[in-house]
Amino acid sequence: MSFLKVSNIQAKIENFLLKNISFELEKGQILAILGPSGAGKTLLLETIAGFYTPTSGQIYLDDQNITTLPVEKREIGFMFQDFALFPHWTVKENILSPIKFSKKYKKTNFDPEEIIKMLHIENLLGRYPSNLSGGEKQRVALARSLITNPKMFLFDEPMSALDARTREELREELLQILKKLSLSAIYVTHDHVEAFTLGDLVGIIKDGNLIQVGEKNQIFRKPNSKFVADFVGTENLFSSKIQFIKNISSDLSLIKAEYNQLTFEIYSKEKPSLKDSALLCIRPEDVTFLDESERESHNLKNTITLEVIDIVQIDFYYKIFLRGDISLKAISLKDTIKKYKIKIGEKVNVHIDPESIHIIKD
Amino acid sequence: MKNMLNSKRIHFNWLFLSFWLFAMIILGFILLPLLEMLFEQPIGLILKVAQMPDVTNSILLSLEASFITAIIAAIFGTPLSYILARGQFPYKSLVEAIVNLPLAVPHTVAGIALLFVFGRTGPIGRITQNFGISFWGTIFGIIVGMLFVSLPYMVNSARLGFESVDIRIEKAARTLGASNSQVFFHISLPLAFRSILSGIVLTYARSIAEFGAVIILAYHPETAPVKIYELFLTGGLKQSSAAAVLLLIVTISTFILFRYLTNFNKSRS
Repeated sequence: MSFLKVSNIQAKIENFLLKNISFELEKGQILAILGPSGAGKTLLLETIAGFYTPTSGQIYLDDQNITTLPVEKREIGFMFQDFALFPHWTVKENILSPIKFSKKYKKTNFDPEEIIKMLHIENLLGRYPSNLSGGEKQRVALARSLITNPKMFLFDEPMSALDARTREELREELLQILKKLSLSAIYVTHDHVEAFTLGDLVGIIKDGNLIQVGEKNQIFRKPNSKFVADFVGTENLFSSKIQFIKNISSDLSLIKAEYNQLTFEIYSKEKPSLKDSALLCIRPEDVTFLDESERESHNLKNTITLEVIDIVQIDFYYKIFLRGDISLKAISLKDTIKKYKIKIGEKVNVHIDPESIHIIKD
Repeated sequence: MKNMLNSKRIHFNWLFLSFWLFAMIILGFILLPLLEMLFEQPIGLILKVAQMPDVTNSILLSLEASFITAIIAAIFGTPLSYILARGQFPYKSLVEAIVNLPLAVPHTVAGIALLFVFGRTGPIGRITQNFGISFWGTIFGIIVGMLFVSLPYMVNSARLGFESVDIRIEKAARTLGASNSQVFFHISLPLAFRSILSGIVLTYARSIAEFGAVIILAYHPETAPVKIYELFLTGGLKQSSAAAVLLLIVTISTFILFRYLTNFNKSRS
């Protein structure tokens, strides 16, 4: 059995319902759960932690059924938003608090001295939480949880109150620590950059449903619904009609789909039916540019000429808004813009690789 | 940088100015009668009244009964306030209404109602009489009257304190191995302690001031407000106001002392 197995859990808390949630996690894996606020992310974590008992379904951790075990017996570390340090205790008192709560933590594999050293918090021990930076709080909260020798960690948007740069640093640090100790974790967030940098697996949750869960590449490239596609940043979505299907090999088909009198050729493992409508998903980074000579010499499929409407700089890359028979958003680096002389008001040739178009059955 | 002045508001704020005018009227309304009374009294008369044993005894009795009331209110009010702050249960709003009921009941009415329970023939009064405890005309009756009218202040204040403790801190403690009672005694109670202390101070202040419920349950022994009322009836404004000023000085100084103690606690955390 997997290290953590959540099987068909349902939970009702006040008026909110978690519906038939199932997933599995191996030891050392991190699952990032991504969803808008109010989707049930916190509720799911708190149900796994034991604050709520599911109305049906089972939770197994390390071959033990923990579905009805009280919180303090589950051996699961929980990192709350803003880290929830005890404000009336010093860092040292915070870190040693599990030992104060329960004698069983005196004999865990983790030696407090070692943890304090590993997380570089020796010089913070006398301070109160209100005098700590976001990064220091994270390390203290981690140390405090590690004393209990948890089997796994749950993270409930611990960094959501911090600024973007600190978040990135803390994420990196957190990832290193989790991987070093090969700890399993579930990390809940509404930020898809966070989800995709931290997670080995990614799950998408909406209205109490875990809509899709899988390897992060799978979620990123092969979303199973419009909501997931949208949520992971597939900005070009078109509802089209399937005109032609031909099997190329045992699992790959050539599909032709029509949108606004343009015909797209797609190589896909999906098997939509002829004449059905299907959603075409094109990630903005898969929209590539061609100059005239490239266009003539390569004779590529899915090549369109469009007008550049706007170019917006975001961090180190540029988002290019294109319009014509189809409206597309593309993402490029500065040198691409220079090379293809992309300017607002000018026409450009773009190309979409038939293998990079993903089809979702409507 | 430390010496830099705060930036001035650019626009003159008429709204705040007019609000301040209204606020001054209210503050004046509270302070003026008290100050007027205070300064009208010749010091000699106050000192003379301070030497009357029945006056000093009544003030001491008021202080003693109020202090005991505040402690009882804290012991019995704190669990209820925690339940109200953290618990979700049916008819919660009904329980909240019951807690605040003493604020709406006229205090003489409260006194009479309490007599039905704690009087010699009441269900509780009858039992305690077997152990030699009577609520009629004793300090116990005074405490019962004070407790009834001041409990809402204790419960509401402590409840605010518990509500202001981030529930995630309590949950974090649970994931670190704490049982429910450990969470309460190690986390919630210390973090809400200042509000509980402030509830104790409010209860104490409200109890010292209580007249209506107390006079019905126990005219004797006389608490300070009862004594002042009696002096007013027998000796007129002159005698009663000197005693009133004395009580005011004593209560305000204890109030300030308690406030100082609670704020001292605040500045430490």
